[in-house]
Amino acid sequence: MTDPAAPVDWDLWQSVVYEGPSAVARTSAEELSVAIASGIPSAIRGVVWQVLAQSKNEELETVYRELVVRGTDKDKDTMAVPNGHHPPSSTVNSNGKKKDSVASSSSSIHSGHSTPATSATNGLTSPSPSQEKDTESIMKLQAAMMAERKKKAKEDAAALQKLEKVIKKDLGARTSYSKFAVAAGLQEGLFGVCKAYALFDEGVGYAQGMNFLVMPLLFNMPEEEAFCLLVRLMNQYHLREMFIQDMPGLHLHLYQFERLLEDLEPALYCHLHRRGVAPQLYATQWFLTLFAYRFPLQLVLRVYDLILSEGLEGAILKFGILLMQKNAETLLGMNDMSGLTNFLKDRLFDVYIDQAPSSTSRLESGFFGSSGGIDKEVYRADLLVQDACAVKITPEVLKSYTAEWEEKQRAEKEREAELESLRTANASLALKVRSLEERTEKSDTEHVQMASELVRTKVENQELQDSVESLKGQVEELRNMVERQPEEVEKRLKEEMDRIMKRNVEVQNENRSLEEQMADMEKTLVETKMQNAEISSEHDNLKQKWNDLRRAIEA
Amino acid sequence: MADSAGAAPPKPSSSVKLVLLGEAAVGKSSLVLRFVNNDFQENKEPTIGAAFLTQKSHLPHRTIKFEIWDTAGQERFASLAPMYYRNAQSALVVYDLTKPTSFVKAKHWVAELQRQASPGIVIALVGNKLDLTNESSDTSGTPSTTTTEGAAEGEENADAAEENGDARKISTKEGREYAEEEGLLFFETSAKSGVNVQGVFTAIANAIPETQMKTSKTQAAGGGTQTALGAERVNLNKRAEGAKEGCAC
Repeated sequence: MTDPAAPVDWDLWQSVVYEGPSAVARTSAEELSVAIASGIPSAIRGVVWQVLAQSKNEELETVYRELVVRGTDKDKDTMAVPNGHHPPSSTVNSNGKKKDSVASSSSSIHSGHSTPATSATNGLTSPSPSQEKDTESIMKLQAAMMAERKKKAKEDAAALQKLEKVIKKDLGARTSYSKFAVAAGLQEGLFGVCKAYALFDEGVGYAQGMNFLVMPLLFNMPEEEAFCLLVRLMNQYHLREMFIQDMPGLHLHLYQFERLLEDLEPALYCHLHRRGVAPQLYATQWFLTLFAYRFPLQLVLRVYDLILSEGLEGAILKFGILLMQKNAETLLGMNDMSGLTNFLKDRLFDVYIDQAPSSTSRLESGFFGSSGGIDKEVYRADLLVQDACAVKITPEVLKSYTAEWEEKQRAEKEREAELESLRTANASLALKVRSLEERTEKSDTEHVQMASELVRTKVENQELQDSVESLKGQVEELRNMVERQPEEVEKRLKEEMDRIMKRNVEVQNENRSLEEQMADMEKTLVETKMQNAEISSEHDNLKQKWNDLRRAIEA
Repeated sequence: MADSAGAAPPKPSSSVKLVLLGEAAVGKSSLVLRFVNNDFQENKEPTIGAAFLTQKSHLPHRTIKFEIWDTAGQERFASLAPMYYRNAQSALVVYDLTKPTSFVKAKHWVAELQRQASPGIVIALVGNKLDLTNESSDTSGTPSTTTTEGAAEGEENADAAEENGDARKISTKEGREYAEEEGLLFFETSAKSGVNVQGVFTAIANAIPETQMKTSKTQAAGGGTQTALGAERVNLNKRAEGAKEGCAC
């Protein structure tokens, strides 16, 4: 309940600021939490936040001042110095330092919007010519080295320019905060913090959502302090986990939130679950921007109070759950998905609108609100914080859900790994199958070939068999013929012999008769020869007689 | 998670889940704003997580209610994307005509959708910021350089070229050819002037088969049959879309 009469316990806050929150917590923890629950006084909110987070860090502020000017004109002088971290003590830089220290000291006293955003950017624009000449002579000596460095610097500059462009794009945002920020002249500071953080933490860089997150800080403190607090939030409060690659922190918190919702508001959980409205769809922007994306600043500042004093995880979950509880009835009455999501994104805090704001609470909200025209309504912020603190979320439960989530993640990872291994196994098996298929195909064709060969062989065989058969017949025939042959031959031989014998006999007979004839003829011949001889002797006689006669005649 | 398009009582119009994907600051939210409210805002704030909107598209024979999931474009939010494109029947993959890197990113999204989303998903490739080019018709844009250095310089050039009225870096031809290759609908739009914005959504509505939408009305059974249908249609669909390609612009 807003108790407008409750006086601000300045003593307590003073001791918080001077002795540190841990000391106060030791002595009067109860009072401190009550005090935070009823709101840190706006006037000292920025300081208390920094005390709570123990973020004040002069060195870091120096780093901020260096980072924020990187790539700008005044940074060019320091480019030659490695890393640009310890710039040479030129008049320019000492001048800048002096200015900044003035700025930060004035800011620690605290003055709402008088952020010395300009301190980092003005008065440093003219590089001293003498120094430039020096650099030139050095450059002659180390020309090659410089060229390389220049190239690198050029690449860096390009990347930087890109980064700046991206951040600037988001700065012109039209949310009520942004308008307010423009009105309050915080644009430059916002740009500076985003840029410096992106350069400071390469693992995170610039993530959309960061700008929303930073705005409430800038409403309460100068930019370098906001930067330190942001660094603190990112690291000690584990906000960073939500912004690094794959956003593990965000997914964890969403899971925790879903489980808590299931535990604490089962009906609402089922209602939303059935309609496919998962926390990822609406709570992502709550958690990533710590509720600063769409919700009223009056309340967001209180959310920050609790985050900084209690820790981020518990606080955002408490607020998330509380808002669901407070709106459960309305949400249960809505069935339309777009209605549900829009309500979840924009109107959840409406239950805390103060219908009849008291003058004090109006004044309180007006401190930031009305002057910038940021929130039209006045909210019962104290009630919100009290309710949120009353939400029972024990660290044990959160721990168990975290463990559950990690287990789930692990299981998921294992499943993925298994899937992956199965996939590769499948792939190799598929390959094997293919090679086997190829082999099968090959053997199939081989088989076909064999089969056709077989058929052909069979046919051939048949043919051969046929010819064998016919040959066999021939053989048989021949055998028969052969078998019959000797008889015949013998017979024929016999016949022939007989015939020859007969003939022989005939011839012999003939011969004998011829011989007889010859004998006869010889006889005849002899007789003839005898006759011849007789005749020739007669002849001779006659011839003698002739000769005797002739001689006788002659004579 | 249950089916996401939570239609409670059956409505006369059928609903279609549509998801917008694309690099940061290409104009996804602006396209939706133009489609849903016929409005345009300079310097729109970045989308964190995702936004959900609905809008009806009236076709001659039916009315289609688009359930639009407008996602955050920054690389970091990619781990959230599967949750949005799960069960989506259609997707707008948006790139910035004046920014080569955004076209590369669009190709990544198309590949991811083809790999991970429901098999029958209708994807439209949309080149936005046509108002920054000197005309709405095809200019013979010079082939873009996509090296990182080139891109960075390209952006500077883009600013310079804007004054001349043409900051185009991705030619219509390049976009269309890629869309044809992958079987996507293709459009060049301007959320600022409103050119072609209605056209994109109408074309998507036309490209979604009636059968699929009927099943989407009765959600409980819808999920199952839908994917079954999708699986069946896988091959046909691609060709069908490819054929439609010609008249898309």
